Amino acid sequence: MIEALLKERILVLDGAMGTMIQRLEFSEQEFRGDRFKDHPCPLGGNNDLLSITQANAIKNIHEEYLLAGADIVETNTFSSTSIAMADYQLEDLAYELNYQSAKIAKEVAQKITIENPDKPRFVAGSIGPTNKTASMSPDVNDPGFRAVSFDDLFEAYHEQVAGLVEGGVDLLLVETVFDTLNAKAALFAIQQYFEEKK
Amino acid sequence: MVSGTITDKSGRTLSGQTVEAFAISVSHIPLLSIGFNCALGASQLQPYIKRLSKRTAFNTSVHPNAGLPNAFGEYDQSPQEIAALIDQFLDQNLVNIVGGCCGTTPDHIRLIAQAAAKAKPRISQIKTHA
Amino acid sequence: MHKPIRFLTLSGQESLLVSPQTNFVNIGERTNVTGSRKFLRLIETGDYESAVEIALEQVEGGAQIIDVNMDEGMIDGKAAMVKFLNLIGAEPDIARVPVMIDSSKWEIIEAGLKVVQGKSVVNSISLKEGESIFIEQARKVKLYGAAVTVMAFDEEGQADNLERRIQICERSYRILVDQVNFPPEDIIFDPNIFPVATGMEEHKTNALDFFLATKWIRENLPYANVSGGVSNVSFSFRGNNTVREAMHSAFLYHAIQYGMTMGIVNPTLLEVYDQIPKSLVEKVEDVLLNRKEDATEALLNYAERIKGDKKQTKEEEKAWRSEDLQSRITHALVRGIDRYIVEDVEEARAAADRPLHVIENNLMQGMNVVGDLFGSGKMFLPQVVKSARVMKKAVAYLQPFIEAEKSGVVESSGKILMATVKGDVHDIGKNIVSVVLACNNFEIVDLGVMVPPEVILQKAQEENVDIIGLSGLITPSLDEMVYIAKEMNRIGLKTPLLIGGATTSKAHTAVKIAPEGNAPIIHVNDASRAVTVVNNLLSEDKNKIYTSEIAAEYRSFREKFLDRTSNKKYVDIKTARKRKYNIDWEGYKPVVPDLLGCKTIEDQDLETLVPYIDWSPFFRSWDLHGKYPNILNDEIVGKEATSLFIDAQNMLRKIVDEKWLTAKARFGLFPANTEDDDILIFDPNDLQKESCRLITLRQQLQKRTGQPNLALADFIAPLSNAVKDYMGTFCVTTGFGVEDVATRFEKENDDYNSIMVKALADRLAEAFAEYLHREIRTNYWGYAPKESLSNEELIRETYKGIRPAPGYPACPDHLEKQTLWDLMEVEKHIGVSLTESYAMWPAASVSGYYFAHPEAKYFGLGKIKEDQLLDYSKRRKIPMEDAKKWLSPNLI
Repeated sequence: MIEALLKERILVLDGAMGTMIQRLEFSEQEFRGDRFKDHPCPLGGNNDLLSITQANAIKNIHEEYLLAGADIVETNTFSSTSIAMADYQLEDLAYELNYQSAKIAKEVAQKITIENPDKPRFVAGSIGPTNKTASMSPDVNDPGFRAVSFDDLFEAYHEQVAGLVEGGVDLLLVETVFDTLNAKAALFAIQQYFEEKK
Repeated sequence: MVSGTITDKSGRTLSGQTVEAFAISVSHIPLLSIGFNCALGASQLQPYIKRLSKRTAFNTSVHPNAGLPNAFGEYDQSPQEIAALIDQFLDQNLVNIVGGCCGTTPDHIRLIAQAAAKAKPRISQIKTHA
Repeated sequence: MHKPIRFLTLSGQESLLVSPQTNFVNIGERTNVTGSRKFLRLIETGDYESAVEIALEQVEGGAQIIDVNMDEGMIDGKAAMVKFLNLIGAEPDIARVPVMIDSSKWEIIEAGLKVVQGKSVVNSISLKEGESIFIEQARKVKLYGAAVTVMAFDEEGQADNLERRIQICERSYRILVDQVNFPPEDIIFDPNIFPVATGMEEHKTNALDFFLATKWIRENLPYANVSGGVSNVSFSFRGNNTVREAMHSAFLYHAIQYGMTMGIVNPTLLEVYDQIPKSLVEKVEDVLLNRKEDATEALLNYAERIKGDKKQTKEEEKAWRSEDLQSRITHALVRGIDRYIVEDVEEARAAADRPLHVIENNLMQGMNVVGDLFGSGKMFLPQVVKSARVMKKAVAYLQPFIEAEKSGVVESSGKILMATVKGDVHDIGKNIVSVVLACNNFEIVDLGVMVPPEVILQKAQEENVDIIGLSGLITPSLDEMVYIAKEMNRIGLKTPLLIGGATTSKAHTAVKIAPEGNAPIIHVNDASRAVTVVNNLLSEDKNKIYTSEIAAEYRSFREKFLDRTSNKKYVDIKTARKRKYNIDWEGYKPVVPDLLGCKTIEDQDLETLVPYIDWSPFFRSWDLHGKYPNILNDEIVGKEATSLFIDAQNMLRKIVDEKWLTAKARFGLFPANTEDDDILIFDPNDLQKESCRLITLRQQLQKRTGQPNLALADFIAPLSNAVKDYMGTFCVTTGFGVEDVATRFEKENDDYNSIMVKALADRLAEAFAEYLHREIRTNYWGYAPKESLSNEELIRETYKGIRPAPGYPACPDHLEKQTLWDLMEVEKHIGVSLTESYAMWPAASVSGYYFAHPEAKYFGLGKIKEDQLLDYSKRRKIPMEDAKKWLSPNLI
């Protein structure tokens, strides 16, 4: 369906999630919500976590973008891999984060589509690059070293893809690719996931 | 959908690939679209989108930052400015999907959507077997 | 219609397209433990640093892909593969090319696939262990986004005849394409290259079978490529490199004709097919093509005979490293190898009493050899510039030591001031001469471009230089040179003056400049002569004789010249106008341009310009004379031209891929009609409004009856006629970015590449002009919409219409550029500006007019008479004095 639409017109993706979240100036407490109030490390700035702790705020941002004319909204999951979430000691939460983010984005998109069926809205699952690179060494003195392997990335992306797809996204967007090998691991995970589901 | 990031004016990704090498490296699965986002503003991205658009059979996308960050790390391209830049992409039939990355807001998207509504989608000059 | 793109594409950090244009892709074979003992030893001992060096050598030697193989029982192949790929991935000079991950073990291949970011090639998979494993591995390869080499191997073994090769390849192809849905262009067959001339009857057809299988694959398995390990074919001649290289070259020569697209070779060890001795190539081909019963015997006998005179191999080439220090330094300078120079210079410094002595003794001794070889025509300009690069590196290394010693300066053979004169921005020629002179131990004071005369004179006195060299490319520069000669005379400066640059000539120097000065004034038309001239001028013995000889030569030249010109007859301007070129305007209907008014191209993709490059002038700028492409095979300069061309191609690739330059254009198409020799340009929005007047000049030479006296205005319909005509104007540039890159190279003491980038920018600007002209003809104006011409036809200008440029023979008046700049607001839109002499800045720019009439043609104005000059000064609204100055080269 989206392929057909793309032949007819230009589709519009939404804008920044981070910029909109910053404007809300959430406190550490608000980031934590009830569920993570006793979490052992700081959670402020973990924007993706807001899909669980401040779901309404995220929904509002999606809605604002859709009302501004976006055809596609991206889920709030740019950093929702076990690799990136390890910084917050939340690696176990990766699947849930993706599932929840996908679910709320889809709800909003469906609501707006029903209001205006002539302009169907889509949800793209945002897959970020993680915070590690697979084809470059972080240590200038050891160019052969790698901080993350293809297999690690594959596992993390596979989990993220499962959460996003099962949460209801229409598309997957591997974005901000600064290391192509990371992207290839994501693409490998996506293909593998769909083959397993067949 | 895959969207790469060109990190500086050398026109390469952080891992050193050119636009063409990047496109070749990820084109082994049937993508809905391939494009660029983040790091640079729309005007800096234009030449790379052009090169990509000419060489890929997939749909193309661009969602740039609202310009380059200023000294305070803020992005200060206005909705009008970014929409005008996006308009140039559309005018030249370079893209199929447009949007915004760091620093863009619903106001930016509103103007971008208005520009997009008037434009015709890019048709790839490359036909594949797919 | 566009044909579907189904060529194999691969990538490292850069892309590689394997298409009919690529001809043949070299895959480097030396990073293979099964093929190279040296590489195996390095991996075994864990010397990865040197192992990486081998990869670099391969890429620098021309490998477009590198084959990496770690299949050795004694090493952990998987770990070695990962470690090595990670290391070369961190070397941009290696990582730019794609990798061929070569192993017979799937686990090693998969480990390799997990660490490369680009699209690589798996080498190999096959039906050896049955269909299900084959399918599974192919499916994985596809998931990892790689291409695949498929061996002609099945459950029963390796294909060793034509039928088996065909049968296995076809079966593999069908499985890959139909069942795995593998892109056919990503399949590369290796139909087994086996040795020939082994003495075994059944091996006789090994090469021929490979050729025929290749042909069959290319004809019957759409889009698939064919590769193979070439060294295998000569296995029975191990130890005899002459025969092996000849066999490899001849094998490839034929295989490529049968359709082989890529091959694993040692690119640094390949003889040029044409250069293999006839007697050898014939014997080799008898064997490969199985043409004669006793072919093997004959080749073996031949090989036995030449075993004694082993030919220079790369290993032997490296033998120079074991020679004594001075020989090494000289060798490095003569061959332009900068790799070891710092190391060698340091050795020399440690042994010398003073660091200065290294320059005076070791380096100068080497440069003298360079000078001698160059002087005797055994070295060519590009090589000398490379020598200079080595020299500069060496001197740069020594500089701190010399300064620490505070011992003063190196004794040079003389001090020479070099400058491009006021108003002119072109410096390629000047830089080449500077480099060549510097190589010959002259100290150069380079004042750069657009140097005002007072600065030249002041510096010449301050620095007490021995010679002044002036350069210029545009015609107003000629007057600048005359002026400087006059000034030198006035202030009594007797320094010899050298005149050079594209518009300068012996005639102009002898007739116009020399009579103004009181010092020796000599025209130097190419860099190779500069050294001789300067040496003669500065030699105490020869100086007097030489300068008086030159003076006499110029005097007699002057007399003859004046004699000759006075023989020519000129007609007055009125008569000349009557004899204009008459076009039948009644029978002509101008095509109305699709676009009227001006348009800007902000950022033209450089890639599109590359095919429009005319290479012959490029070689001329390096003093290599001949027509491209024949020059590449020229008996005398061919080798050097080829090497220069390869360097140029490599840099051009970078210019395009890394976007070193920005190409911009501004052009306009307007309603136009003529009034006498003026062309009136009208505002497209208001046809009554005259936007400007282009002033053209008319030939006045008396011609044979019936021959017209041309002016460009003749190609546009007169106002008095009812025909509404049109013309165009343009300015293109590829010069933005050149300075940055050139300066960067100069900082690295790399004049060779600094000159190279400027020369290439100039070529791209011309290419852009050619490209834009075509766009105008077929598109913006559209008077020749169906035109389809090859690049050669474009260079020969077989198309309809012309694009003459102000400052060139048909319209030598540089002031016209100002009119174009105002009309199109060139500087405002694309930033190209005009100097006081109306040179364009940046230098790599071209501007001009478009005339569309099919009879429009290029011509040279020649000399004009005083009456047209007077008429011109009135039309131009400038004093007669100024008019004289601007048109001086064309005055009788």
